[in-house]
Amino acid sequence: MGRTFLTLCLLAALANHSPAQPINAEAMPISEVKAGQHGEVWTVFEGTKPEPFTVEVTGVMQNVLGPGKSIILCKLTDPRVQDMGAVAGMSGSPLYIDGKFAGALSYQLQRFETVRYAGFTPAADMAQVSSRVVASPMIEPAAAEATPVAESDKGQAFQAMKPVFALGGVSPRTAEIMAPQFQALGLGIVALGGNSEGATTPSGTPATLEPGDAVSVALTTGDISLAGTGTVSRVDGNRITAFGHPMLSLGDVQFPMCSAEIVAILPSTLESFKVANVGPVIGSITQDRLSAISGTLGPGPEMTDVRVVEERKGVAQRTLHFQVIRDIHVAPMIMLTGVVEGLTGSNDNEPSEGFRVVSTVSFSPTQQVTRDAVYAGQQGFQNGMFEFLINLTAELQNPFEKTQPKSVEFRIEPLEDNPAVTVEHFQVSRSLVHAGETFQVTLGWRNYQGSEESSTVDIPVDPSWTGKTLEVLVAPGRLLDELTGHSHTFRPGQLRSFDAYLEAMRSSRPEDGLSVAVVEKSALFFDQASSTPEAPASIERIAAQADSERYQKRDALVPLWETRVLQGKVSFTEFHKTVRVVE
Amino acid sequence: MPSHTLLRCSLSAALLMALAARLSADPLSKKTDVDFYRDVPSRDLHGLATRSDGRLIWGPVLTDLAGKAPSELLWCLEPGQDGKWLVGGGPGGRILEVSADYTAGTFSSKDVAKIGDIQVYALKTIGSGAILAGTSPNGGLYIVKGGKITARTGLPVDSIFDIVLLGDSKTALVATGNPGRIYRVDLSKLASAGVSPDRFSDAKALEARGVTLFGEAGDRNLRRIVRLSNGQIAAGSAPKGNVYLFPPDGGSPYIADENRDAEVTDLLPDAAGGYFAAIVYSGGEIHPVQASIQVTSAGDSNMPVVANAPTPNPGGPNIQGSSGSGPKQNTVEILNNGAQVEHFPGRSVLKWFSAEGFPETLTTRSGIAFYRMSRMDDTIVIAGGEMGEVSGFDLKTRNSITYSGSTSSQLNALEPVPGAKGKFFAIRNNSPGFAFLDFGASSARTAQTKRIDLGTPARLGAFRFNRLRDTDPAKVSLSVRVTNSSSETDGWSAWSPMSDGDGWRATVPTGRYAEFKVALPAGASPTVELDHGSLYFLTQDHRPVLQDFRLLTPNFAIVVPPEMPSPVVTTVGQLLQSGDGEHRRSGFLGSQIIASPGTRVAFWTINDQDNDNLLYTFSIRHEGDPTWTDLSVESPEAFVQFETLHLQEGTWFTRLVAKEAAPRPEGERLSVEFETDDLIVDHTPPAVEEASVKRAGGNLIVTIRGRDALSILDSAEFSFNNGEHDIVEQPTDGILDGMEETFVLELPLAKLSGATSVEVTLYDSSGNGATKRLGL
Repeated sequence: MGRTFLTLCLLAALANHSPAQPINAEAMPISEVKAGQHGEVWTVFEGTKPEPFTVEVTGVMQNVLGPGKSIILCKLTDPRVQDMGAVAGMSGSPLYIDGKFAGALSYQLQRFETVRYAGFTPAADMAQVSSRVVASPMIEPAAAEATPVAESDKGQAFQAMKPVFALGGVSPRTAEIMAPQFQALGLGIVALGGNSEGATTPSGTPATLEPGDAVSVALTTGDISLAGTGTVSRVDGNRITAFGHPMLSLGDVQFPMCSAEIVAILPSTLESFKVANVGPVIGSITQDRLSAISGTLGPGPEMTDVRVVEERKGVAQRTLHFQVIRDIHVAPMIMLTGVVEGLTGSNDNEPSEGFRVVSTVSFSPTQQVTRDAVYAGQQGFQNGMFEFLINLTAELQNPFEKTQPKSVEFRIEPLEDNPAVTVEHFQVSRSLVHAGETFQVTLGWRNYQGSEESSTVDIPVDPSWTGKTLEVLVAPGRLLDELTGHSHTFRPGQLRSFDAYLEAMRSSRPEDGLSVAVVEKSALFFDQASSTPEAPASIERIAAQADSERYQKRDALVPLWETRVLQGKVSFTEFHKTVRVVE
Repeated sequence: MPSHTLLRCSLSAALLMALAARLSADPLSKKTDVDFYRDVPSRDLHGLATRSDGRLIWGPVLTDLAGKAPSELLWCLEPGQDGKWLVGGGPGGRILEVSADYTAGTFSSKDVAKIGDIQVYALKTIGSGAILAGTSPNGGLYIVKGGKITARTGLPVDSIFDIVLLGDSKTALVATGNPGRIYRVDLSKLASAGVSPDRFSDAKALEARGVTLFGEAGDRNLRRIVRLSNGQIAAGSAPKGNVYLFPPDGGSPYIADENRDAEVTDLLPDAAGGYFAAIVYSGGEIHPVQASIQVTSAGDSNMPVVANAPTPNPGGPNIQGSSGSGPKQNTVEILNNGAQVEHFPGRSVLKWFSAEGFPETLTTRSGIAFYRMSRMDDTIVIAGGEMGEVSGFDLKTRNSITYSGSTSSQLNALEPVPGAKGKFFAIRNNSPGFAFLDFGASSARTAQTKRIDLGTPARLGAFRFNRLRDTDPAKVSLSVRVTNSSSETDGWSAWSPMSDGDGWRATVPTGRYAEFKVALPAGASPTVELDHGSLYFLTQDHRPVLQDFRLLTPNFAIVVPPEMPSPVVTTVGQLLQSGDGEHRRSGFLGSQIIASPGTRVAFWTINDQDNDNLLYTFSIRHEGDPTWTDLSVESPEAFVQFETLHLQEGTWFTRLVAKEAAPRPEGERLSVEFETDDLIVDHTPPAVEEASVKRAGGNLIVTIRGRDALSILDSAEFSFNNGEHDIVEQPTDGILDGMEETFVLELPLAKLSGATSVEVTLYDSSGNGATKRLGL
């Protein structure tokens, strides 16, 4: 009993002497920061509870990040961090000197250093970010700039600390495929992150945040997560400031703010980092600036709902469901990650023979763009990914309205057989046909490493074709689009509204199979993306003179009759033959 | 003389040069016709008009009404209530109500409705304040009432271009594009069918909404429809430009007029069952062109002078049956290298179709696109483009007319102002707005010609009207400005009023281009007519330029054929041919060439840009002697031949003086002097320094070497006494270029059978020869 009591007393004494973080600490002007001052930095080493470690101010590097942007340089004197130095994930950890908030840990100064140092963003610089009002709820594409991660890859020693970008919910194979793509965007994924959302709230997750707490900024949440984890620097009511450096330097943003739990710190002489579980959304990050990120506790931002539905023969349908930030740079890449995960993330092999993707981008129930594409073989998988990314990026970007899709659905189907075919012959039964008759087009093709097949298409001769010399054209949908004046690229100024943009995006022909068409050479009069053949010349003259970008006359082929063959197959063949129609 | 080769070359060159040159002397004073119909653009007329006989006549005043552009594009016009106008436009599917203040020259507009489709190409009021509108590119047929869309049916077409209400006003016909059809619309059924966003292609579904197919044409678009007095429906199409006639109750059409690459932009019925059609042939893309005119000589003033404007000609009409007529041979086409304008390359035709069906072409206008027609008594008024033209056709006098035009590019709709005769309201595009055309306006009337190109800088003389009718010449104000610049705007002199005396004259600087402004006072008579004018001018006098001077091979003379006596009767063809100089030149070219030892012929070609008559003085002097001896004094002939036998051997210099002659005034005559080629006078034959004969390998080799003091050697002639004869022009050193040369003849002995001697003659280039006989 006596021993127990003694132990309790000892514990109580220890508790009384455990250091306490200053509450609502006054900000220290950088002019008061002097070499030799001692300070405490608060961060989470494990779990969710911040702990201090000591530093000694070495000096202030004046204007090192540009005019008026200085860095406080400190020696990490605490033995706890001597082995690990400044850790990725500690960025934002508040520095207190004499009970005042002096700045936030943000920069690693050197690699393989023998004595550990770190740079701190001064408190006043962070306050500038915290006080900014969100200019726009949308993420503007113009704000992107060189990212700290990319700079570090150039071998520079002086670098912003990285948030720990952790990709969760994907297989290592998907992460391996996508990591270089994210790296190109400035998202250095250092770990496969845990994702505790959707299960239970991580143990000890704070309902509110305090300086020194770990915090994650998610780019996607749900079945697939991608989040950068750092440390809260300062809390003013429900407004938090964190990181001490930018995340992606995007300016005004709408990122989900998530709670985080530090699983461990993985020390390294090169680059130590924290491993974290990302918790639920607890607010919105609205500023991504040079000196910090900043946001508000509360509801999260609007995100695009993404579903990736995998339909594989003989296997139960698998659906990935996640939400993606509405950023036109990052969102397509994350969506592609979902598609790649859908194709490769199961115990089945990745689609070596090819795959089909039907994507539906919904801006509203009436504003949808659907694309159906089939890609053949291993090369098709590689090429298809990038083509898919380009198309998806084009669909998400528009210069007309600040709008982002509400939802995106991908239905992916790995193919059992390579869909590539080689069309070996093309025959038209007659070159002179009579109105009201039917003539035939026969296509013979060879499946990839497979059998020869053929197909015959009956083409009824419409009486209105009488007297015309027409072309029977067999071509992939994309080529027929181009030949019939439906270009996939548009001149600046040609389109004038979001609806016209959607119209231009969604009226493409399917990319698989071949189109068999009876076409007539004609002149098309375009009003934005829509066209009418052989418009009266008076209207063309008046309109084109008024607005030559919007109204254009172009020679093109006009389909009089059209069908599709070889659906689900991939061929890049083009054939045409002339047919004359007589009475 | 063996130098036939040289002679041939010299003569051929001389002939070519002579053919290339023009030595005729046109009259120095020029005149160019100012055809007001051709030379005054529509938009430079204000209260005046021009007629196809070249006259300026009374015309309407066109006012481009000021106001805020209501829509980017304006397509159709319909009289509304209370003197207002309903206008269809786009983009944005605009139906507008426009109020015009004709006195103030302004307009204002407000939106009646913005409907779902992009362009409103057609609209009609259908009673009770409702509007029937047809749209593009979704072929929507709308009823708008009280600013709201009360009915909509999508037809299976791209565009609805025109609407006609039938007699009961309960039924409408709509003309469509892609495909080119006519639908009959039961308006009450359409109204009760309500608004549907769909496009109906099923005939039953359409019929349920009051829409049935009336007829279909073989062209892509039916652009205009009208109901004729006999109940038939006439329809004009594009892009073929056919005119179709549909039976009153619909069905298959009959083609009344077949065209290709054209558009029937308007149809206008007459009371007798016939109708007019405006047909525009596009003629390719709009492109920049150069204007040109032709200038005639004042000396041909007794000829019917026609100054034709080559097609295309901005603002210049091309009247069918009259283009290309008139003399061309004596006209000088002067290309205007000046400013280029965006020009409509096509042409428009106004046709009249009688009730019997025969089409008659009334007028053809190049460079003008007809858009809409309206009738005022016996005149068809036509709104057009692409430079804001308003045209017309007088059915009585059968003359084409150009009226005041707009500053906008197109006037594409025209309607008479209800209850106001002679007043029209028009839509204009590029820039968009409205215009008011008033035939009764009382204001000062002006017309300004386009740039008249005189071809070269000139001094202006009098401007004379052929005739003035119903006006006192004192009331006609004329002013002129000139420039040497090709710019339309830069470098012009100030406008100078021209005073009427013996023609209208002004003191202005010399210039290549001139513009004239004609003004009549406000009280001018409506029957005033100003005939086409003639501008007289004197072009710059240019100094003669020597183009060629030659001396014929020595020892040849020419015999010039006798000059033919002038014919007693002069034909038109002779009048149009060149004058004396040309005859003189052809006389020289027809000369006979004869051998004449010691004779030299010199001839030359001198170009005078102004075709002045020239007189030539040709002189020579011996080297070292400063005194010139005239061989020809002020002769009109461009050649001279003279004896050299009496001249001292050696080098002589020649001098040619060319001087302008009458009719150039004495004080203005320019002369020019040329010191020409050296003349070698050489009477001495060359000296034979060596002559020999030898045999070698079955051949006979004859060698002669000689030299001359003044001339280079030319050739050696070998004459054997068995008749064998040869000339060697090639010396042994390969180049015939020296005063000392060696010539060798090599002949097979077989050809010299019986020959015992040979005479060898050595010639110099002056034709002198030295002979030596050699035994074989």
